[in-house]
Amino acid sequence: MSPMLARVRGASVGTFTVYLCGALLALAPAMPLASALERAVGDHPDGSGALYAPGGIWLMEAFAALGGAWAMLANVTIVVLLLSLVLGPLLQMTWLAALLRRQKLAEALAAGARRYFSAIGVSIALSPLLGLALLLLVAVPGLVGLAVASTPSDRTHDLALLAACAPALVIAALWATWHDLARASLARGGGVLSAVIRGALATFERSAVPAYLGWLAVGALLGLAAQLLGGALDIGGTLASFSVLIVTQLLALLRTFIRARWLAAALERVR
Amino acid sequence: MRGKMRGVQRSSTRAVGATSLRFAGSSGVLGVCARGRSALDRSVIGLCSLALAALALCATRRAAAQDRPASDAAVVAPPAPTPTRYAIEASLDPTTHIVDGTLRLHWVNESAAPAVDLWLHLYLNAFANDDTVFMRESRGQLRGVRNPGRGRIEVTSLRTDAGVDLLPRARTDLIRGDATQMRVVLPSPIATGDAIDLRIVFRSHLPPVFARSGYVRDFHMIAQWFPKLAAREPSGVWSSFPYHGMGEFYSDFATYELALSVPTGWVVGATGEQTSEEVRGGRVVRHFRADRVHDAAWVAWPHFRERAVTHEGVQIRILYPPGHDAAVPRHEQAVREGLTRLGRAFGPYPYRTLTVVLPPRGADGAAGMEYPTLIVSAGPWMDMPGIHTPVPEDVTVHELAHEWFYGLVASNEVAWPMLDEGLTQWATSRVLADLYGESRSAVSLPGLTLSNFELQRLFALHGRPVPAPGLPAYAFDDTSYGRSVYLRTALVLETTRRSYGAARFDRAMGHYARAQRFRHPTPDDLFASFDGVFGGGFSDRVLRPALMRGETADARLVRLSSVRNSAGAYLTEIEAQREGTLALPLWIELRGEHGERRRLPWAPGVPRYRASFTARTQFTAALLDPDRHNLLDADALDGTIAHRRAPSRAVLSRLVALFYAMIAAVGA
Repeated sequence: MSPMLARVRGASVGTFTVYLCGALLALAPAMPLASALERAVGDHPDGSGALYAPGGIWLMEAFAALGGAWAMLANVTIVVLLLSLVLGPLLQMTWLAALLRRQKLAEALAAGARRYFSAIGVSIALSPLLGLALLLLVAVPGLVGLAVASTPSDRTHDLALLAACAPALVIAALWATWHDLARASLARGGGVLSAVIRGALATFERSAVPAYLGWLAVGALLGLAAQLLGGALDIGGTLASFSVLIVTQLLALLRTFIRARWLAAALERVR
Repeated sequence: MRGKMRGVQRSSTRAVGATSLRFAGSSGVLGVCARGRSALDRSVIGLCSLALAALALCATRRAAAQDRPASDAAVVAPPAPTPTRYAIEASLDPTTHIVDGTLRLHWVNESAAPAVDLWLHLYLNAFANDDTVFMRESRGQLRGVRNPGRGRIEVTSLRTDAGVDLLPRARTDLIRGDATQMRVVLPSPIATGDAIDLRIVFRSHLPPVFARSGYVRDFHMIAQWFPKLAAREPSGVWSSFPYHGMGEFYSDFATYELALSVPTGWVVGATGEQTSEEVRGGRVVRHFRADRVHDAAWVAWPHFRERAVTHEGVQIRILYPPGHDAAVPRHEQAVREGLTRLGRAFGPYPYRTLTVVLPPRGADGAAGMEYPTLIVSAGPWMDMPGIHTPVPEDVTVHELAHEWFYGLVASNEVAWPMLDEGLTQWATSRVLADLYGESRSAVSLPGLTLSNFELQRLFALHGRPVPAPGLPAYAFDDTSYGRSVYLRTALVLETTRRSYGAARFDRAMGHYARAQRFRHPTPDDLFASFDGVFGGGFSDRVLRPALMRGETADARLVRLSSVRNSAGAYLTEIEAQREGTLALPLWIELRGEHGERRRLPWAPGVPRYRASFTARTQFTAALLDPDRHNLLDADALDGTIAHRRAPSRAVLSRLVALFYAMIAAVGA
C-alpha cells in the first residue's frame, strides 16, 4: 500500500468526522426548506410526491406558498456558510493532523486547534492571490471585451470573453493548490507562517495543480451523480427514501475520501 | 368600407352557430334511430344504424369540409391591394445613422365622414427629449434597457401633388413636450371615397438602439422611422395616440413599396418581398413590396449571414450574426412548426415571405419585436447547446404568432393590448406545449421540468394585484403590463380552453382569427366569436369578467369526512367554497384508502358546494380540479385535503445532498 493510501486509511475516523460535519451543516438549511415544502403540500393526496409532478405544478405552488419562510431560509443559509468559513480551518487542520500522524480524533483535534490561527494566517497571507484572481475575472474580460468590441462575429466575441476568464481561473487553481499545500506544510510543523508559505511554494511541482483539479473534477461529478441517482431512486415509500439517503450520503462520503487522498498527497509533497 | 366589413363579420359569426346546428341535427337523427330499436329486428336496426351513422358522418364531414375551405379560401387568396399606398425611397447613412426619405402617400378616405385633417405619427420623436409621453411613462427604460441616447424625425417638406405646401398647416405641439403626432389641417375636406396624394420629405435620426429602433455599431434596426398615418375608424375619427411607454401601435392596412438604399455589400431585411435591386454608385437600392400590411420596418447590417428556406410556400429568410450557425436550426424549426400550427389554427400565413432576424450582441433594444412579414427574435446568445430548454424558440414563436395577432388581426394595441400580446402569449404557449409536451414547455432539464402555463401562473397570480388585462396600455406599469396583459390573458384563455373543451375553444379562436383577418377588431369581436361557438351569453359569464374586470376563479375545499355507518358503509361528505366571482365548471376528485377514485362535478353557478353519499369505500383525500383546468386560482394548495399521509418522498435527503455539494465547494 502506498504511503498516501495508508494515510487515508489511517485517518478514516477523521475523514468520516469531516464528512459528518459537512452533512450536519448541510442539514441546517435543508431541514427547514424540506419541512416547509412538505408542509406546503401536506394536504395533497399525493403528499410530497406532488412536488415531483411533471411540469413542476405543485413544486411552483409550494415555492409560492413559502412566503415569509424565504427570509428565514436565507438567514440559515448565510449562517451555515459563515460557520463553514469559521470551522473550515479547524476541520482542515484536524483532518491533516489525522492524515499525518494517524492520531486518534481527540489528539488530531487538539493538534488542529493548535494550528487554527496559523491556518487562518495562511488563508489571509494567500488572500491577495485570490483577490488577484477575482480582479482578473472582472478586468481581463472587460478589457478583452473592449478590444474585440468591433468584431462582427458574436461567436468570436463570446469565445474571446470565455478565454479571457482563463487567467483568473488559472490563478484561482494556483491559489487553491498552494492553500492546501501550505496548510499541509503547516500540519507538518513547517515553522513560521512565511516559511510555511515559502516551503509550500518550493514543493509546488508542475503536477500539483492538475492533481488538485483532478480531485475537484471527480468531486463535482460525484455531487452531480448524487443528484441524478437521488432523483432516479426517489420513487416513493420508506424503502426508496432510505435508499436515496444511503446512496447520496455514500457518494458524499466517497467525495470526502477522495479529497482526503489529495490532502494525503499534499502531505507527501511538502515532506 | 370597414362598416361593410363589420357586416360581413357579423354574418360570419352567425355561420358558426349554423355549423353547430348542423352537427346537432346529425346526432338527432341517430337519436331517433336508437329510440326505435326495441320495435325492430336487431339486424335490420343494426344496418339502419350503420347506414345512418355513415350518412351522419358524411354529412358532418361535408359540413366541416364546407366550413374549412369556405373560411380558409378567403384567407388563402393573395391579399388584394388596398387603396392606400406608401411609396418610400430611403437612404441610410451608416456613419451618421440618419435615414433620409421621401414618402409618396396616396390616401383614400374609406370612412363614412369627410376628412378635414390628417394625423401622422412621428414616433422616433419619442426619443427626442426626456419630456415625451414615452419617456415620462416609461421613465426612460423599456424591458430593463435604459435609453442610451436621442433620436428624432424631422418632416422637412409636406406638399400635395398639386404643390400645395401643407407644412405651415401642420402642428406637432399637441401634447406638452411630445412631438410624436402631427395634425395637418387640410385646405379642403376629403369626402368619403376621395383620395389625396402627398409628398413628404423626412429625415430620421436613429437613436442608439432602444425601444425597438436604432443602431449599435453598424447594425441598424429601422422601425417607426417614417411619417405614418394613424388609423381612421369607419366613423371618421382618427385613432391617433402618442408613442406610449407601454403598448404598441395601430394603423390601417396599406400597400407599401420601399426603395432602400444602403452601401454596397450591406444585407437588408425588410417588410415584404424583394422585387428588384439596382446598384447606384457605391450603393445598392433594394426594392420591397408588401400588400395589405399596416407597417414597414427594415434592418441593415453588413455582417449578417443568411439562411433561406421555403416552407409551405413561404420563403423564410433567417438573418443572423456570423459565428452562430449552430443556433439557426432551432429557430428555423420553430418557424416551420409555428407556420404550420398557427396557420392550421388561425388561417394560413398569407404572405410569400417571412424574414426572421436574430439581432447581434448589444442590440437587445431591437430584440423581441414583430413587424409585418418581419420578426426580430432574441439574440443567438440564448442558444445553449445540450440544454433543451425552449427559450430561443419561445421568443421566435411568440414574434411569429404576432404575425396573426397584430399583423393580420390588427387590433388597437394601445386600447386593447391583450388582443395582440395576450392572445399571442397564449398561442405561443400552446404551440410550445404541443411541440415539446405540456410539462416540458418551459424548462426541460434532467430531474426538473416546468410547464410554460404553470410558470406564467406563478408570475401572474402571485405578488401585488394587477389591473384587468382588458384595460388600455397606459393603465399599466412595466411589471403589471407583463403580468396582466401577457400572462393573465393567456391563463384566462387556457383556463377557458381546458374548462369548456379544446375543440370548441379552438373553433372559436380560429373563427375570430379568420373573421377578423385584415380588420381592426375590438374585444367585442372576440367575444362574439366565442358566443357564436359556445352560445349567447358565454362571454358575459366567462371571458368578459375575467378579461375586462380581472375577476378571479379562486376556490377551495372546506371539509371532507368519510364515516362508517351502522350498515358498514361509509357516509362521505364534501364541502367546497368559491372565493372568486368567476364561475367555472370544476371537478372534485375523492380518493379512497385503497386507491379508489370518484369524481364529482361542481356546476359553475354554485358558490358553495356540498355533497354527501354513502359508499363501500372510505374516502380519505380530496383534490379540487384534478386535471388542472383552472389556472386562475391563485392558491391551488387550499384545494387539497388528505386525512392519511401519502408515502413520503426523499425531499430532505436530496436537499441535504444538494447543500452538501455547495458546502463542500465552499470548503474545497
